[in-house]
Amino acid sequence: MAEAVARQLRDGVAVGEQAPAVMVRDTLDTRAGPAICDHFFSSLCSNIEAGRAQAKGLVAVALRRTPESYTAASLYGKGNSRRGSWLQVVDCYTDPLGWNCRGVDAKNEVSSDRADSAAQSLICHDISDLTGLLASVLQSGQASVNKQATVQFAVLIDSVSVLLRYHTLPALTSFLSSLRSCEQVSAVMWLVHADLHESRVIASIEYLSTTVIYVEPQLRLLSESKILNIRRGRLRARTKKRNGRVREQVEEFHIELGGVNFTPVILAKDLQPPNLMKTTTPKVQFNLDLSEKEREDRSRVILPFEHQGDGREAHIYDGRPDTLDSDFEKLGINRGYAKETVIQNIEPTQGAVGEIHYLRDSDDERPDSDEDPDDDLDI
Amino acid sequence: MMEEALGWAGDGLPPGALVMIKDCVAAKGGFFLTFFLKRLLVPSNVASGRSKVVFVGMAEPFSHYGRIAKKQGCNLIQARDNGQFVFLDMMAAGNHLTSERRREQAVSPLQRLYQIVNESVKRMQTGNENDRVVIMVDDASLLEVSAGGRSDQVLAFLQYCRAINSGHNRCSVVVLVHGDTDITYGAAGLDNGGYVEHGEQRVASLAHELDHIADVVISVDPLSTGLANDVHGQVGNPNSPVPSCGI
Repeated sequence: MAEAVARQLRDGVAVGEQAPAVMVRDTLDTRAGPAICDHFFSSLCSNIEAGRAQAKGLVAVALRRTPESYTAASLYGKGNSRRGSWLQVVDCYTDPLGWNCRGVDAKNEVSSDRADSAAQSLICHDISDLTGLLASVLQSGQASVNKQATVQFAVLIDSVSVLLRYHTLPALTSFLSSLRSCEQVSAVMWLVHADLHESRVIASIEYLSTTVIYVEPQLRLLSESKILNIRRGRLRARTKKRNGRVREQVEEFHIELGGVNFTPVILAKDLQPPNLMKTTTPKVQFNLDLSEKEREDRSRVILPFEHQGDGREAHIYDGRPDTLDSDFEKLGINRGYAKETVIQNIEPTQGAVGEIHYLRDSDDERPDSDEDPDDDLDI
Repeated sequence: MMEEALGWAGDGLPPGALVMIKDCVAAKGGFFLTFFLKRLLVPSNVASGRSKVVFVGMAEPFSHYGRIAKKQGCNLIQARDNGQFVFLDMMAAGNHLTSERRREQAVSPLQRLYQIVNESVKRMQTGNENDRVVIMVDDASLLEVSAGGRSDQVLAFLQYCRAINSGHNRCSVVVLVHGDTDITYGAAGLDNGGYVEHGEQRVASLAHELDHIADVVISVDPLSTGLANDVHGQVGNPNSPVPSCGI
């Protein structure tokens, strides 16, 4: 899964589409979001240096950490002592609000500090101006690709949570959309601390992402396991494909000194055999299941007031001789089966202890029928 | 044991590090500030370097820290006279913050405080590129009060302090914050998951935000078993493999 995300950043944008956006979201349960971001950042740097990536440059917007931390040799490439100009840093860490600029209108001023040739960073003095920040990012991106208009670069924003302190959600989403829409931007990645913002804010930013990586704890958060969760956890990546399908993958990660190691996770549903019969009977102290004999006996029970499915009319004994039989007798039709049924019903069986004698109130009273008794009213 | 838990290499705090001490009413963490003062101003061995400290005091006067540090073997008055320790007393009338504020109304209180801290750090520089300066704040909750409840200003102030350059190194920051003075733990005692209602937009509490950006978080809590004569609380560091220790 981690390799798939790294490939997505490496392969970049397809023709006519917006740049892919990878969002890493974590909470205080794990605190591993920055480490996961660093892993993908290092991977992208390696691919750019090796010439395998679509992007030929990389712009890191430093909001959460110092600009020089991005130029540290341990963060990118293995064994490289010096990086080229393909890595540019927009420094929103040193002076984001212009407090260091006295007597100068710092609102729209963007100065560059190139005292150290290894730290090629552009200092942003007004983080509240997203338009200026976007311009700084694009300017740094063009510098990273030696101002070649047809060559693309990738962008990393190390903390969108910091931007959300100073901007409303619509302004921020507009900024991120503009970044993705830029033709020279190959891929964008950002980090968000999900527990610092409302769920609707996180959801809105997720909609802008093609891949969302959820950094979750491996165990349920317990006071004893807080320490363990710092180094270990679980990654759940949800990727939206171009054909509209959404793919979700899960991996476990372990943060070590040399980097982050990922191991696949065997989900519980894959362990369960497909033909496993699941019983729906609730687990109680008494037996609710039926044995075979009980099932047979139940099927032989004659239900009252229902036909038995044998084509014969159900006859209900109402306490008097069957008038229908007498009518049929007048016509000379033998309805012997009905009478037998009645006789069978009223004849006391051998060993029976009682009988039921039902006397109707009036013999003149017609048996109940479905007709409305008020039909004969003439009002 | 605490040094091991903090990963203290003996030469002071790592440059640019942010150490957050989170306490509560039941277990106050102010003693940790004097612990840090002693470790920074009185190194355990000659080989380890000395750090310089700028202390922003908003909760207690200088005499309070001087008295406690003296009991632990650290003379703050001597360190102040040597230029190793600067105490910015924000409680005194006519202090730097309020007197200067009358002249420069255009800047925010915390911006002005940052300028004072920055000037103090610049004055302490001796030309030794390996000098390390630590800025200690007691406490961040009072900073938030000074900023009119705006936690983003407090976070910006702390970030600016971390970004101050002293020689080759950036300054480290040690800040005390009360984890139970947010509105979420107000009179109703309700827990909204670390969120504070701020108009129509809910924002995370200051302690919650600091928890994310701090390099080291020291949590001071009361004992789960209740009060005890010999042990008053427990200290935890979620970033360290060393388990919590009692105090």
